[in-house]
Amino acid sequence: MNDIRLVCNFNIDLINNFQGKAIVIKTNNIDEIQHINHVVNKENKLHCIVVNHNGALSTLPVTDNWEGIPIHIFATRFGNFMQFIEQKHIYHKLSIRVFLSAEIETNYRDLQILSSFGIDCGLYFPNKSINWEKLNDLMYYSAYGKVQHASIEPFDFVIKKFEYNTPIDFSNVYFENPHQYLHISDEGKVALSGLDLHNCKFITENINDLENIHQSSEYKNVLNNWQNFFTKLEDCSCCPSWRICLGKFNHISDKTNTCQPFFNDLMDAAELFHENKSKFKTRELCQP
Amino acid sequence: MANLLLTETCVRSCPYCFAKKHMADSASDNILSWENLIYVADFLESSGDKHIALLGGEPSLHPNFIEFIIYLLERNFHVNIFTSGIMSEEKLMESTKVLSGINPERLSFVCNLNNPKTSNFSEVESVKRFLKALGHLTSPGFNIYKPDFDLDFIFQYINQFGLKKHLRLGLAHPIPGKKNKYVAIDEMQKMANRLLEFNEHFARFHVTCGLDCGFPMCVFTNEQLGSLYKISSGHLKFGCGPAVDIGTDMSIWCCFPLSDFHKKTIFDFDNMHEVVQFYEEKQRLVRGEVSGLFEECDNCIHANDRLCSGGCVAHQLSWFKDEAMVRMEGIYYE
Repeated sequence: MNDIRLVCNFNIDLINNFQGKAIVIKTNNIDEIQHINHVVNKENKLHCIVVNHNGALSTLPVTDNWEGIPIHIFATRFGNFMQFIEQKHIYHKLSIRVFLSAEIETNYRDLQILSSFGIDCGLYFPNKSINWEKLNDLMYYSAYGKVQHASIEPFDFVIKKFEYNTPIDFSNVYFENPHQYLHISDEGKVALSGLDLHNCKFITENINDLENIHQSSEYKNVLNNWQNFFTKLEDCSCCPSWRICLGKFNHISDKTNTCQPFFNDLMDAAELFHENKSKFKTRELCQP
Repeated sequence: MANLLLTETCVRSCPYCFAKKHMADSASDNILSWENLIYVADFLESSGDKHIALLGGEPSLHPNFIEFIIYLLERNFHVNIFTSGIMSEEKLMESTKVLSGINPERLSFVCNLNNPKTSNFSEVESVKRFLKALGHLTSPGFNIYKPDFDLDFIFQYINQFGLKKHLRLGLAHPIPGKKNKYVAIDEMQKMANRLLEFNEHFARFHVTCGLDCGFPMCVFTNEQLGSLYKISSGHLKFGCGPAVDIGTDMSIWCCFPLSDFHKKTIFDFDNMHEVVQFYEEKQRLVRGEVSGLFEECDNCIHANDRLCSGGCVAHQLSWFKDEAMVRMEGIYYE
């Protein structure tokens, strides 16, 4: 299970249990960022620090002391443009990606602003309320923008990782794909997602079982959950874009006017990207 | 460079206004959205163009006026703002605080000045407040719409407020289908004579002048052209080409006097070169029918040599409006 990355809070006692692991640390305290980087990288490898900032991005005091540290910031909204501009030059020095909530309508255009400034960014979905029209506009900007701009997730992930015959799970972007990420509680209990962790739904309560987790039937069942769409013949099983959304919006009753056209468009963009990529192959030179 | 409208509302009602037709046809609460600003910035950048002019209506009426300027500057655009200078004290204070320290090579204003004698007191005071605060970033602009105009106040403003020593002179043209004041063709010579009466002022105050489009070359005598050459620092042009205005709703047209002439949307084009080519071709068709303002334009060697385009195309189109549609199809309004 060495290729599985662990997602946990910054808890030194817990982290000391791991060795050589890639770890995602969740924190709300930005003053800890340098310390987290130092501590985690002693015996493990810091994959990313996830900062949950329950407020406007513009109020977050970023610092160039974070240079070289992979950071994802999840902010509720963008905030004051002029306040953000004062810090913009710092963002360009950092290995940072900014996520804004899909709940707030202005965030869709604010992500365009961030992306056009060359700041990697993304949208996160705290609940199921999504403005599909604005989401589609943002996806179009991300995929078909006239000039080079920074990536916008999850579109960039889907477009770049898309393969014709393999489903892909964009929850990777949020460290939520159980094929690659497991969530660990402060007590060392293991959950398959952040939501499961929050709901205390664990697949094992013993951290020592981590190495053999792939043999656990519960883990296998979750990984094979996608088959249910087809055995139950749900709406999503007929959707041509299922392989890039994996039924994440299965709860929506009116799919033909919401998620389906959006994901169809996203898949078109992904297909076009790969067609162009194969058409215009870059020259490979022999390196001495 | 394209002109991008931030608003479609103005705080003045100038008798010569070129934008009258467009403003009358637009809803007054139309303002440019962030998404459209980003689209236009991308569109220009993909065309290799990093210059943009912001105008209106009155652009400073836009609630995100300052943010838009800063956004474009952050994307390394050179921004030129056409304003009346009339804005609330609060907006002016905010603009001064944020914009006054910006390098004048990257941000400039053109303040369109009307003669204070014909303007109301509060308007004049507001313009003066603007010039006092942001004059160092500002070039004066003046539109000639009658042959007996006065420029004295402009030289006074330049000295009083430390404005840039370059006067942008526009010539009012007729708007096909709308009434506005402009210099009639038979008064153009008089207008030229009047302009050259300020020759000494330009020299004495070290002010240069730039002629906007639509001045016909032959209304000036050779001697006057010599003087104009000097006061324009050798940058004399007598052209009339697409200025390209982009509306808040992403509609696009050749220039304000021709705002109804083959209006398209920016989405019909891939880049600015296509836009310019499209409108150049339309103007070429009009000139194929009538070369310029004067009969002599048909056989003018300066027109053939492209030294002069024979005045503003809006004059020809105004004539066509009043006649039967017997000319080439492409010249008529869509």
